[in-house]
Amino acid sequence: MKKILFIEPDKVIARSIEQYFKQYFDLTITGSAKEAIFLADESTPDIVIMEIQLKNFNGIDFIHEFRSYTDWQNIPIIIYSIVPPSEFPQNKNFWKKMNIQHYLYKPNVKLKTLNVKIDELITANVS
Amino acid sequence: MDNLNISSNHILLKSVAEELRLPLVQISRLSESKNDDKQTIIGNLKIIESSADLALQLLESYIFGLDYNDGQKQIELSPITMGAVFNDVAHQVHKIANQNNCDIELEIKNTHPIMGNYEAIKLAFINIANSILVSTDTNEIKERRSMTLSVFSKGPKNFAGIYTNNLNITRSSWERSLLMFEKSRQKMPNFSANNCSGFYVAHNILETMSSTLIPSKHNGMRGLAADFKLSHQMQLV
Repeated sequence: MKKILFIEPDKVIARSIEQYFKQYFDLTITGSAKEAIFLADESTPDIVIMEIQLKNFNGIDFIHEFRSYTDWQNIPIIIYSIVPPSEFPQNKNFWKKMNIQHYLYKPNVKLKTLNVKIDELITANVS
Repeated sequence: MDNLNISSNHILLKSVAEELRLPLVQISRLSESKNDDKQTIIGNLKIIESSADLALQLLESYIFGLDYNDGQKQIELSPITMGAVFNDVAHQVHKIANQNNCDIELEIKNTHPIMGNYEAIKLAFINIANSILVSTDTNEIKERRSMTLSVFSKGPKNFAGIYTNNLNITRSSWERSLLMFEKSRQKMPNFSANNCSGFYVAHNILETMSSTLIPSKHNGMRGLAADFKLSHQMQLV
């Protein structure tokens, strides 16, 4: 089973993610970006899926820190956020530079679609 | 704080609309969940109900504040007891508190009747309580928490506030959030990943009674409180 690290601060959305994905993946869900670094260190994930709007530590800071570790520079990251991507127009190059595979806007992207994106990434990485 | 114009309605409306995305996404995603376990399905339905209730309360309170701030309606003040209002608030938020792993304590000390609008104060404090409950119940916090609804008098005023031991709101962070209200999506990043619109809707409602929402400390806990002028008429009685 592929390991997915989810960073999701909202308990209800975290619950729905767990219920939906637990049968497909080895899931770790945390609401804290700081804890996510420790969790990734304990068990390196195959994919990271994260909210950008977090408490205390914002998602951009997390991405900077995560990508600063050599071993984690090629781990795919999907942003799955309540913040519309249009609020980051200046960041298109940033997402590319930070090797962010997808920016998915939560209100428009159901878990089924998120699952398809994860499968595509896994298939691409295997091939 | 009076010149911090968050009652500019389109700004507050945008904030409320952004806040309402979350419960709608919660309902949508939970309805996608795959499981056959009856208890989990019942749990999900309870969460869907409370997400919808929270969204409706925020929306109704915004509309209530809008009517009075627009000058379409004049708020009617009458002598009321804050103890009665807070009993009502505690009753209303009890279910949401329970679902969010929090106990409610009511503390009413030496209070006198005040001049206010019962419904307006009740709605304001329900929104504050809801925002605190939802914002502080995250994946990071595992232990059961408590929230105190406190009413006490000090000098010529009654103070009513909602306090918890993990409410990281200081006077400066609150004032900064009001100043940055128009520009900032996440008003208090040290406190919540959400935008806490309930606080600002409450602030708007309280302003209609010339009351001000302020960060406050009480019994070692932090919270948000408002002051109310005593009803001299009722004191004479």
